[in-house]
Amino acid sequence: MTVFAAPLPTLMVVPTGIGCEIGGFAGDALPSARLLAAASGCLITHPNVINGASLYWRDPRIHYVEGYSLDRFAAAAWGLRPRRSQRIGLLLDAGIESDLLLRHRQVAEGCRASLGLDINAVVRTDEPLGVHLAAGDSGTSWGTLDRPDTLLRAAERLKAAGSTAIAVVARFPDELDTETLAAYRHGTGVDALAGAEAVISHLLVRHLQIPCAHAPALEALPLDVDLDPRAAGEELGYTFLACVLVGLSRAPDLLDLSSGCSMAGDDLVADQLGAVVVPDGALGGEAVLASLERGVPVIAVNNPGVLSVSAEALGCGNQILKAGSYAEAAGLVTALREGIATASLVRPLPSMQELN
Amino acid sequence: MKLSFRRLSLISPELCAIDDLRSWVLEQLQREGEPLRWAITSIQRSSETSQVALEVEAVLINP
Repeated sequence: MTVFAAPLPTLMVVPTGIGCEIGGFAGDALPSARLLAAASGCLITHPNVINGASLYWRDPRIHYVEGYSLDRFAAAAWGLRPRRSQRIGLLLDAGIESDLLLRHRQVAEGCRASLGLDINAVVRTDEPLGVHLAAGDSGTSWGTLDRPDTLLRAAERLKAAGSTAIAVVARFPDELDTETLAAYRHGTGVDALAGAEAVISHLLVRHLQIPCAHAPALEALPLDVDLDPRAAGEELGYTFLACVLVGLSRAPDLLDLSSGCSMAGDDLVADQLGAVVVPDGALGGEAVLASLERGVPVIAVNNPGVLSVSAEALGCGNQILKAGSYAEAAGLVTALREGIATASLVRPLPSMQELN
Repeated sequence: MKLSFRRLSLISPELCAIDDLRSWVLEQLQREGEPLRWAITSIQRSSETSQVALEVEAVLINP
């Protein structure tokens, strides 16, 4: 198919740690993201959507933007400036044991040697970060850190050394015997680590305003013959770091639009957004609410998770386009990109409104 | 700096339009700390009034 219309910058959100059937596992929303990138010509999305541990996919139409910066972007506070490459600093939690630490260093060295990534420095925190996992009453995963200041100190050292993006690896609690982990590996549960991961990367991006993303350090899991294919990306190696390094390597710079910075021709700002694609029960996040405020078309996709914050619950059903699948959402994005009224694509087609 | 996970039960004012919801939730969260990450995780609408009961989960930053 030849596409004639200009790209339609589109935001794809699958909130982290809410157990979505698509995107609730190991980068398993990546095929949907690739489809939406093809439909829109420009997709802005976050690590949870496309990080598949040892699996990743590079597409110049996909912009890898961590969740805190994604929210700031949608709220028109920050802009995005595409980059050919980022110089990545590797931040390692002092709580990681020596063997596991070496595994992570070797992944980074491998990405330098085999993928040509620019990884300029590595630093360890001066104390263990102390990651704690939490679960909300809603069933979503969250988490906190005992020592956020030690994380920020280490990140400042990397930025001072010339790193323009930061990959952080924190030691997460091993959950070998929990029901939650078993459910996740069998494709029925929420990723218990994901919420804490998002908190770590949010904190770094808020503090430094450069691209950051997180990979958890965990002991390797025993083989599971009933492993769900959506979780399989995390069982291919000893770390989840490769996808983070690849994603960050071409992540856009973050621009504070209140600083009066000059804009370049290919910079992206919220005013250019043509659509937001989000699971239909997950409309209560900041990026989606900001987009609704700004009148950006929101496409709510049937993608069940643990939340039920729907268009009807929010009282904005008439502002939302509904899609039964990401394939249908891609069709709606294509229609928006081509300037085709989406109402014309369904039947019955109501008559025009007569104004008095 | 301290991080804390919080769950807040909020009743939105009557006629709080979708355009005002984000800033209203942020205002409520900022009374407890600086919101780092948050989401509305449940909404219940009253059948008798236009009030809406919200559950918000958040990680907040405090000095």
